[in-house]
Amino acid sequence: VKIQLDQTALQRRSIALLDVTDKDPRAAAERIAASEAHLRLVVTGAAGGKNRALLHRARNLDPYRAATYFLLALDLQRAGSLTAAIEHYDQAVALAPRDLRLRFHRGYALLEQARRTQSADVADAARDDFELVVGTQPKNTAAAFGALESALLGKTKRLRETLAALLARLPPQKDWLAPMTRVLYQIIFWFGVGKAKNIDQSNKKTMGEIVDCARAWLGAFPGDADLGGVIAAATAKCNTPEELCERIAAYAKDIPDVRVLRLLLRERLAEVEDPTKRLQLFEQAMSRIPPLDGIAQDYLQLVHLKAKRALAEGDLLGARAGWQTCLARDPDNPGAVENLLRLAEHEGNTDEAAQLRTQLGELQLAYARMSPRADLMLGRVAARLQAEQEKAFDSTFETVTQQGSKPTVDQTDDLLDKLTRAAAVARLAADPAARKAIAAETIRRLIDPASEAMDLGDDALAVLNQPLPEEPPVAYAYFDAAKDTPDATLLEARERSMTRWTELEAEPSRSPEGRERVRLHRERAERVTASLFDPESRAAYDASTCGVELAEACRSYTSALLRLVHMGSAIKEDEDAARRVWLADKLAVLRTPAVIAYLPTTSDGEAGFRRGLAECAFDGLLKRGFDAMNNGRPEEAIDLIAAHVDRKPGYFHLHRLYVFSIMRDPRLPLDQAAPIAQQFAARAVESAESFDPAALIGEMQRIAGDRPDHMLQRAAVSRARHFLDKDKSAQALTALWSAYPGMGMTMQNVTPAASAWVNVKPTGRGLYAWTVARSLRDNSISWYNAQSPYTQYDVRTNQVTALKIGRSAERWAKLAQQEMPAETLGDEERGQLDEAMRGLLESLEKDRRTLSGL
Amino acid sequence: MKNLVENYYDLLGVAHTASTDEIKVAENALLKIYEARSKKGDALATQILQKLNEADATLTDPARRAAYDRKASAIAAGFADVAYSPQIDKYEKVRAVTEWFEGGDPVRAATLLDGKLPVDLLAYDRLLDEGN
Repeated sequence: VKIQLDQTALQRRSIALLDVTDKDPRAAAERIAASEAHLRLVVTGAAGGKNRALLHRARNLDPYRAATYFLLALDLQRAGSLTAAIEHYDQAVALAPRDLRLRFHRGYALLEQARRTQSADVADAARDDFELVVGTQPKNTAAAFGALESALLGKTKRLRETLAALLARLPPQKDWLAPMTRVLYQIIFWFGVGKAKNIDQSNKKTMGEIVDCARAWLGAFPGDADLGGVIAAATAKCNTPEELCERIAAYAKDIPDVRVLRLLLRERLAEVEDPTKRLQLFEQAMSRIPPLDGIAQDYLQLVHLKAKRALAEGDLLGARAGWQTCLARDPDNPGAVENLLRLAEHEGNTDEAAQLRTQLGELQLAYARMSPRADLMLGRVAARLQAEQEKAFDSTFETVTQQGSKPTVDQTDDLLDKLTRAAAVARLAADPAARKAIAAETIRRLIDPASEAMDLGDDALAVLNQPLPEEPPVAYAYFDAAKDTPDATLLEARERSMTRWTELEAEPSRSPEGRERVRLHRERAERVTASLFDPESRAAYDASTCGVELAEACRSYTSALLRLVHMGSAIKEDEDAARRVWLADKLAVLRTPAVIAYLPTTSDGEAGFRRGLAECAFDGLLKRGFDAMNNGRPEEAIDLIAAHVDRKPGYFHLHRLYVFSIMRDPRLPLDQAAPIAQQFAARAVESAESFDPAALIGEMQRIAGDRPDHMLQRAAVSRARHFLDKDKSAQALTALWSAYPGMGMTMQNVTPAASAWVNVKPTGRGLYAWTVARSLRDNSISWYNAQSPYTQYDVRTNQVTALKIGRSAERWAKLAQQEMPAETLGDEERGQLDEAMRGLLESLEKDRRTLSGL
Repeated sequence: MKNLVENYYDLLGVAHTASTDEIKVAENALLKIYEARSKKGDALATQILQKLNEADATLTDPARRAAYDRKASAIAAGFADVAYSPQIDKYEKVRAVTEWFEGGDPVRAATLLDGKLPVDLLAYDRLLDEGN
């Protein structure tokens, strides 16, 4: 077959063929040819970045071509999508089971997968593919080596049984010397050591096979130091701990890489259960060899373990002696100093404790700045600070609960300072980029035990405001899980969360807005976390997000901050308003990059955070403001909240209070109050959150959207109702007068006030007409009852006046009945109004009969 | 003792990096000691035995252990490790050895993953028909 390589011609041909097959799907030959044309574009590199799309089209055109799946698998494997790649290799193998190149590639993909997932079954499947290739092509070294590497990660028993044969297939070759040495070392370390399960006995045979192989290769490459090291390491592997420590000097000469020797020592000594005995053997070994890289760490670790075991057995003297030994070997070891400090504090040895405390403080500062493992030091300091903060929080909560009281601004502020300091140190521990970016002096202040949290706000913020070096893995936070949570535990966590959300959605006591919020949160969680439940996409997600330590630092900071915001929103109502606003502002500044990332994973999200801050700042003011307004002092409500209504972001309830207060504020003429109320109603709508009741938001929307004349009437109604509640019908009528179209702002000064309305033609919206009717009757009755007529003439005159007002009220009430359907009202309110209107008309009729009869 | 040893690792006398096997070994050794004391009526020993059970249940379950290891109060209550010597399992050993020795990945080198694709791939099915 001569393969056409002219790329332009290929592209043209592919498009032409596609055209044919699109017109007639039955044109199979054309489809196959079109598919091949697509493949050619990929193979020749003419597809540019469109390989994947072309391959998918080729597959759709001809789904029975193994090469398509092979190319797709290669493309996916290159992109790191190993599971998907293996699926495509499987498909290709199903179509072309005898193809060796395909088997070799699938074997390698499975080997990579086995390395990634640590699965012996996958490794054995990889080995089977390589074995099939070697079976047909015995001289295929890459396949034989692949089989050996797969066997290494496969089932241990199978490896032991077949190791000699696997090694024998790989005769010495110069190009393969380095990888072979590496694999031999890996096999040595793959097997464990110890008497349990007869491992040491089995190792004798296996290590013997490794030694034989290494000798054979050494024959071909005499003097190769690494192969000599393999022989020594395999021999050492079979020693008892005592033998290994006894012969350590000889092995140190033969094994060129000290790390290999150290690893052999560590794994062999780990089987010695008694830390004292382990330490003894290690000291023997150390006396026989020159200092090894990293050996001091192993020594300290063993002495430390001995001290911990002593502590666990209640032997405090033994523990102290152990940590003093550590300190003698490493005088600047902060761990040893800290442990001795604890013992001194426990024993009440104050002088020693004070000295150790100073020493520890200095060491922590030095380690935080200079140690390559500053994370460990900072992590401990952060844990201490965080534990202190949690304890203080619990203690405050308990005190407040016991007293049946509410938290104060000072209590919340104190916890806030502690939280930010602990969170900043935790961030420094988990984020090397932040450590690098923050001045050493700032870090010193943050971790210095002598510093007070209340003085460190700016320092802590400087750390917390550092941009996150990578995206945090926020998807896990939906289920309250950490990034390293095992698959099964994550599934359980999802199940729990889903059940909880479903129950919340069905809770009858929850408001419709609340249920909707839960539904949206559940749907978002399902969407965002979908990738966590497919191994391949979870691995890709994990690889693209920051490490678990940083993620957990961010997550726990966010949830602790939300707890404090919640506490802030419950602060006593009588606390100073300015201090509450100050605290809310301080909390708002803590919306750092970590919080911004994690807030959407919480059920209340950003809106909940904003609402918490607003409640923290204004709940006290709101309560006092509504009390003032409802008790006839709207101007007092205005004075309380006026300074805060222009804050950003706005707060729905504050704006709503302002709207009603300004409509009723007697200091402001109605025609000035109405547009201001409309303006603030619009701002209330803008600042409304999903938490705010839809009915209240709708009310503000209607006010904001009212026609100017209707708005004026609405404001008049609001003022009039307020006066009516206080039996001030004349003032109610004055307020209503100023909203009557074309009437001017001042009502005639007559007695009764209602008589000014006798010749006024009813017009306007339903609520306005209704309020006028009510005010007229109230005014008429209170005036009539207050009269003390001396003559029959006076009596008759009063009756006539009352009858005229009554007729006027009747006309207004009828207009109200007619216009009321156009008003937007709730069902309950509408029902009540209808009943009240019927009642008023009946009363007016009765009034009329009574007055006429007299 | 009660206030001094609150952290599970301290209770067992093992490092924070201890493997499950090490934890089991340490627990068995301590059980022997404290069971003997408890039988003699030592109330503190009885308390410690209870805590050892809690420690075992937490530290031998990977998910619970990971959560415990991140609990600030647990870390703060624990004695500090004086050296950083993490346990390494067989997979980590294999990875470490790969880092220590050169030689690359010769099996990958024999695949088509890194180089150009050979044009004979297109004759693939034909070759198959011929028996490969």
